[in-house]
Amino acid sequence: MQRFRSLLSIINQRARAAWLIIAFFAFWQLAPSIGLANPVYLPPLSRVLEEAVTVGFGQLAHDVLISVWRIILGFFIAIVAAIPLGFVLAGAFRWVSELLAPLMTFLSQIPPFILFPVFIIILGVGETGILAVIIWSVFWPTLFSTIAGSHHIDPLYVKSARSMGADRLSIFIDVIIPSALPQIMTGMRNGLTLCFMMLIGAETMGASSGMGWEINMAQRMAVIPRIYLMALIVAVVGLLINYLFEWLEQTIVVWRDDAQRELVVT
Amino acid sequence: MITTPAILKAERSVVDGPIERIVIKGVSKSFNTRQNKGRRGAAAQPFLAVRDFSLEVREGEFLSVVGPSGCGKSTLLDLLAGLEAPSGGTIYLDGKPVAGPNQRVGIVLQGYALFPWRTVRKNIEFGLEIKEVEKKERLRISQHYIELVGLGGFEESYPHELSGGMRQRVAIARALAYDPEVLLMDEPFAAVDAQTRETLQEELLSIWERTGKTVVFITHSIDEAIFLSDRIAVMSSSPGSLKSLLEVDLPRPRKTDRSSVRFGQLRHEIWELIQQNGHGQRQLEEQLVIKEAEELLVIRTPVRA
Repeated sequence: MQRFRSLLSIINQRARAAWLIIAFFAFWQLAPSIGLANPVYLPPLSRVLEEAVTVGFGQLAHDVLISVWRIILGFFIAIVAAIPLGFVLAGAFRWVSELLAPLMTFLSQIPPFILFPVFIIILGVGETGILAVIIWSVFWPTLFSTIAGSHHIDPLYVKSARSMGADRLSIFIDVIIPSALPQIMTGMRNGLTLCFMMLIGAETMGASSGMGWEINMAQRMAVIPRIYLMALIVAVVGLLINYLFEWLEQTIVVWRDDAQRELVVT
Repeated sequence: MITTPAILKAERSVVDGPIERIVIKGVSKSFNTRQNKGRRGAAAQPFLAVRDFSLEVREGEFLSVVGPSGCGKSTLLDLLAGLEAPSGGTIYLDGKPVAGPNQRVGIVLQGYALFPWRTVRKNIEFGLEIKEVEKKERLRISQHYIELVGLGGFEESYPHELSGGMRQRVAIARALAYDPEVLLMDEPFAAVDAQTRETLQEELLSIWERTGKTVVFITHSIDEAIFLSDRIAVMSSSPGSLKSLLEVDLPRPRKTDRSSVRFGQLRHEIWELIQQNGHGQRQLEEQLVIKEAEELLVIRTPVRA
């Protein structure tokens, strides 16, 4: 009964949130028609959705897939570089990481978006520049969280592994990596959120495909409904990526209880 | 200097005559304290944690080490486990000097130290994985120890899903699983409530009786030491050294002995020994008085059979 009631309350909460979204879209639809907003600057939702037909679903799917593929590729390259480097800096060369910390913090503060023109000059126009932006966005948070995660390992875990005869390699694999993993995942997620934003920006500046490029084209041709359409699609794709990563995190880090979760977030 | 005010032969050891499992010979341990936290003027002076400590632990015996906080009890345990190398002297385990961490000793640390990313079963199997025991055999052994500590049904639970007492049982099972000759325990029950603590003590005794392991048990609780042990080593602090070695002449099994007259006498004797600690360490003494008061309160509450 208790369980049933809590289930009901969850459904109720979800439904309330859903109602709010429906109300938002309804308002969007109505506001321009009843004269609350200028339909030129804020076309009704139906007009925005119609635009999808004009652009063509094939083209839209292409835009989305291109953008998502860039993220997957850049994200993968960044974590493959950042995680091992983080472990090496944190473990083997702690003094190096302490020495480099101020410089790395400084570099990480530069928004990759600003660096984009530089990347273009160095790497040329095209995919490489966009990939560089994504890699830059994911690399720093992942690197920092790997270093922090491996510095904050409870020495008791290492001690008890050592007492059971574990050598350095198995301590690294069986203790250090799983210990640091929750924090690394948090860093990866921050990087993912950031890189998605940066990707759209980069695509508006120097790409010939992708969601950002589509927005840029719409802006140039002043097709206002298309801008809104792309904004909607970007929001939905961003949400889906976020959910997917959250699910992945919960599947991998099953042991993390709520107390630890709070600890990692703050 | 070893004074033994109460050498009373325990019946257990008389039967076969004592055989030494562990021989600690004139062991010292000093640390180079680079950052002397809160100790002004003592920069870069080596801190002597344990001085000239000698003790023999008999085969199959339950020996407790008590003493004020900071007397080097935990350092002693690290030395026994091979986690730290002594600065002087040698520790022999079955005649062989202890050179580093090894699976001849199992260790149960303060605060469980279970791996949160491993299930109960996987935690218990850790030492077996290091030993490269094959999977089927690992499963059989871990199941045996899970049942020995009464955690059947919790094989696939994660530590954060268990209570403090249950976690401690997992820690004991984990230390026993790779079949060490000696079980070292560092204040294992310090973090659990008084009720659970008594239950765990009784369970530990029953596990000890069934497995016949040699146990070295470090505690700050005098009552715990008396209830569990064959012998009690009392340490004094700064630097940590052996003050006295007492034989606990209470009959086993000891389910209801906590309130007996002899128990009280022993408690008083050990308490006095710890009190006599030189150096006028008022703080430590006050701490002990508080602990003692707490323990008395525990004793007054009826012991469950």
